[in-house]
Amino acid sequence: MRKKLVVAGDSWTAGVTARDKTGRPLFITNPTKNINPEFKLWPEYLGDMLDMDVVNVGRGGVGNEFIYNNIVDKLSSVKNVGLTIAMWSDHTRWDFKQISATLRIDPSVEDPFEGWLSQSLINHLKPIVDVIKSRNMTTTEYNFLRSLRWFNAFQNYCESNKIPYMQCSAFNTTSNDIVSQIIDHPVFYNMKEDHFYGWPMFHQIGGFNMSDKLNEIDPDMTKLRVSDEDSHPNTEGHKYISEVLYDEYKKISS
Amino acid sequence: MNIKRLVLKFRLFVSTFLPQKEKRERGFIYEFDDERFKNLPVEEQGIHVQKSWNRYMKK
Repeated sequence: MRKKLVVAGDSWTAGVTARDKTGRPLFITNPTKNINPEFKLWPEYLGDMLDMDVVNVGRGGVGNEFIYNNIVDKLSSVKNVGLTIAMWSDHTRWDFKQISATLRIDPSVEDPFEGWLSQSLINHLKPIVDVIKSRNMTTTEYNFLRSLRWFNAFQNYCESNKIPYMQCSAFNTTSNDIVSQIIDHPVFYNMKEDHFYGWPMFHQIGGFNMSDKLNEIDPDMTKLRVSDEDSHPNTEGHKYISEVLYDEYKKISS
Repeated sequence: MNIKRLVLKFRLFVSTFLPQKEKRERGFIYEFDDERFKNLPVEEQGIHVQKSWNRYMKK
């Protein structure tokens, strides 16, 4: 029986196109000239390399709470897991799973309701966002520490259940002031660095995320990205991501 | 922890003298959780997505 590769993340893991329940893209025509909506994503390439079946519980646009919940829920039911990978998202995203919405609530974001949310959803969420803001829960430091605790919880879940795991960040930028505060937090020092590809995450202190990794070989963001308007990885980008993750996995599993 | 922390603080200090190139991520996510959308046939959903895309680009 083949082992399973269980992955979770945002659009960098689930793809950018709307898909049906079987994972088939919904497009009948192609919305951007440089994207083939049926192209393979990194979990599929990596599954082939590892000879594992892929269980992808990623979803475009979501934040780290959604990613953590989805992957732990799935790991609780799937047997014979050969490897699990969480590719984390941006720390500014707040998930409201019951109403299928994710908002970016952070001092760097002017309007958390920008995008294609319906007016009824906005009416639903506005009072909640107002309370969160009034309680000073949306500083960048607070937002990042929420995510950091999920990284740590995912690590501890996998360690305690003896599940082979890796984690990494798709993209994340923050200022030196915030990094300075974050590296004072004790949870930062409870992360197992060899299982977190790119740790300590921030380029200012020697870390990197997957976007940085793509930029190393494609600094103009023209070869491994979808288009000028859309910097998600294209099929070559996804292939490259799978290769670097495969190399990292070989290192930690040997 | 203290030595690690000192090393990171030092790296952070050094980084203030280095040029920082910030590259913004851009993109779109197609998410349609509206019940009416879910109930459409797949081809109709595709047309809806295409129209939304066209509107977005026009804007």
